[in-house]
Amino acid sequence: MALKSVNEFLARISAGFGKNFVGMGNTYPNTTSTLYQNLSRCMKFQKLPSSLPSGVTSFIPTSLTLFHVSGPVGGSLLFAGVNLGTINFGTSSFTDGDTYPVVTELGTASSPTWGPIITEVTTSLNAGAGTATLTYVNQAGTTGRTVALDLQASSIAGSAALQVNYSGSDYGIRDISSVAFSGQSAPAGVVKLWGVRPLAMVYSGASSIGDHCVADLLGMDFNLMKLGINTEILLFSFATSGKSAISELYIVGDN
Amino acid sequence: MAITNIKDIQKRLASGLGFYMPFVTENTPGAGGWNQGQVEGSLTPRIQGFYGSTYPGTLLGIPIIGGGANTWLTGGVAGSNANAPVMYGFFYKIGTFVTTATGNQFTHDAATFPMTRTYFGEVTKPVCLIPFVQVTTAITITDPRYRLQTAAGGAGYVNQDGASVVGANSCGWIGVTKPSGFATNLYLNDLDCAVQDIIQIRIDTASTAGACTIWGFEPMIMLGCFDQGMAGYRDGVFAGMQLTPMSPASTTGGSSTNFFGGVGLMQPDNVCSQGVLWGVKD
Amino acid sequence: MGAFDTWDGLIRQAQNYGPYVRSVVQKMNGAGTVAGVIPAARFTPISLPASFGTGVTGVRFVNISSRISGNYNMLLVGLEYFLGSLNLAGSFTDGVPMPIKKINGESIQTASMWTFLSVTTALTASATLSLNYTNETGLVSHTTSNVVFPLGAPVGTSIFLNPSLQGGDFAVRDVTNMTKVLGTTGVISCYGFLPLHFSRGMTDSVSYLPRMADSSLPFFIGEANESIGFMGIGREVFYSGTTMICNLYGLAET
Repeated sequence: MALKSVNEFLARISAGFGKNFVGMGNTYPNTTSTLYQNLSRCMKFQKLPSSLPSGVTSFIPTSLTLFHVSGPVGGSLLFAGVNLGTINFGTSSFTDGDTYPVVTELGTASSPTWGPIITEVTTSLNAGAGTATLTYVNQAGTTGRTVALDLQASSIAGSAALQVNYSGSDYGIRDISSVAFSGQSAPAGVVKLWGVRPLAMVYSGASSIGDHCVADLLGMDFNLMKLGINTEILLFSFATSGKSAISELYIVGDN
Repeated sequence: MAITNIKDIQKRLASGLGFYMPFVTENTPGAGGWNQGQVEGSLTPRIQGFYGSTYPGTLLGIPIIGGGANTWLTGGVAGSNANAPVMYGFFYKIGTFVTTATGNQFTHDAATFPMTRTYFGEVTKPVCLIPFVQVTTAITITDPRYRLQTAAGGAGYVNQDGASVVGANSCGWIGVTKPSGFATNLYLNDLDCAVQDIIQIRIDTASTAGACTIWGFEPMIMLGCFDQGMAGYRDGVFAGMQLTPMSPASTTGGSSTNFFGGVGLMQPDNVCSQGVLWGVKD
Repeated sequence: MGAFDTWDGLIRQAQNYGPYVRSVVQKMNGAGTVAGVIPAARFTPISLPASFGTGVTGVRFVNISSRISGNYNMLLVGLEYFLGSLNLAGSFTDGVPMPIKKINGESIQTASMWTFLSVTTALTASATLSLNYTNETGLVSHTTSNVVFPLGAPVGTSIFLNPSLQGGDFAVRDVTNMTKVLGTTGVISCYGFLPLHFSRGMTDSVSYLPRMADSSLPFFIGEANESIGFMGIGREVFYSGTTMICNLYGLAET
């Protein structure tokens, strides 16, 4: 069926099919932050349910409100994460995850999607972690493309980075196939690789007294997306030092 | 009867099947600086209660005029006399603890958690809360240190996913005496964003004086601007679709101590916010 | 009432056809010397799908958000058209003219008011060139003044062409020739843009508003196989490490 009007969304919420996902998070100080592509993980919202409630076909975020303490200059990125895999530098291993999803897009069923990588440090890297070289499938579906992971040495847990380099003229990836390691010396560290399905980019000022922002995902920041079970929704800030946040994300169960 | 469309909301507000809730709130005192908790990843919010509250003894919530069971909050407007965006919502008392002795010092409130609501069509689902620690007896230096775990190293809180978690972080306050009323958020484990319940708090370093209340906060609407003299407006349909029930969540057992108030970040002392919330009966 | 005249219409298009949602991240490679009155740097464009579903004629980007690093930079996101190129060791290669686009149901011959010259093969020496073009009213054989690229300009170095158009001209419909005045090797290409979105660097991100907002800007529909181009503009744009992130949200045009 699918909700197809503002009124249908209203009626759906009134019937008890909305949920306010609330949470707080700390953005972590990043390492040497001379490059723009550094990010900090601010918040992971509660994961979406592991099974569809009766009568619910997908989950649609409709509204984000966010308090930042001393807002990160340039704001934050809210996205539904694609788990592309995990790299363990300590064991020189890669645990594969998912591909960018295949979706119905502009009337075409089973359309492959592509996008960038955000690398999240979950266990701090040491100086001997070395270099991870990704083999990936590019935006056009070409396999065997390789590029070194953009990651600063000794990055601490909670820091993150945008992958800004690709092979040749590539501009996105569909999947990571494998990872090779080089230059390691008693390595340690674990990173998670996220694909980005963007929901909102919110701006907050550099006020030292806190700032707030709102994304209206069915209105002026229109971004209606249907998310599935177990989806992780993340908020990363373009910040280079620790910032904290309180946030609420409203989600409606589609019919 | 459930809301069916926008005109339905407008009709109910016109015909009196709704509410307008004016309020004036003031923030808790926070002498000693707003950023005392930041080094440990903490926020230092100002809990805002209804005007006339005496912190922490007589914390008055905003009177729910016309709200209550089977009502929906559909919008609001508020401003303040200082830089003050404020999140308004329900505070649920989870329990209390003292900092004057080491070991397990947390006493849970009589109400059984988690708090519950209907979500995605399913009844009695646990509510996630943002935990705030409010000082009720001034904490003196030596700064106490605590962890969200038992004296034996067992779980100290139930996280947003319902898992019982051993809190890994050493928490506390820094430097100055914390006056009665001062608040910080609890420093949860990395990747946890909220709690369903608090199980225990272990004091590792005691202070000579100090007691706290832990509130679980359920935000409903954010209002206000970061510049005084301006008002923030929020419409639950056209400025971020979000209708929230204007009644507290239910306990799993017993009666909860709760109030409707606000959380403002980084505000100076003696800030007042004022505004109106509105909504409709179901 | 058109599909994009109400919020309900946007919701229906999203639910009936599925939105086009992408995040694009790129970095400018190689430091360079800014060039021209309005210096710029061209990122790699992306390609729209080769085809759409039944009844879908294109994609309407109702929400674009972006950031570009550098306090003195901005980002132009638009439909990009290759108008022609000049091989400094060889000759001119013609591209395409600016397209005809439906604006509010009327077919409009577009012209580019955002025309750029970009280095697409690195220059080994400074270069000077001029262009012959058809202007916005269809007048042919108009000529730009000479445009100078600095010594050793790397790939991506770009110059905003409009200040160099023949007096009185506003835009370019078609490039008919590119002539070398000075230069040895390298390739300079000419691109026209139909703008979709602008953002400022570092501290702000300005989204192109959905149709429901008051806007006198036209909506350009992205069609099959067309390119979305990204042009950084500003005095710090060509520092190595200039990075952009752009989120695209589009709905089916039917």
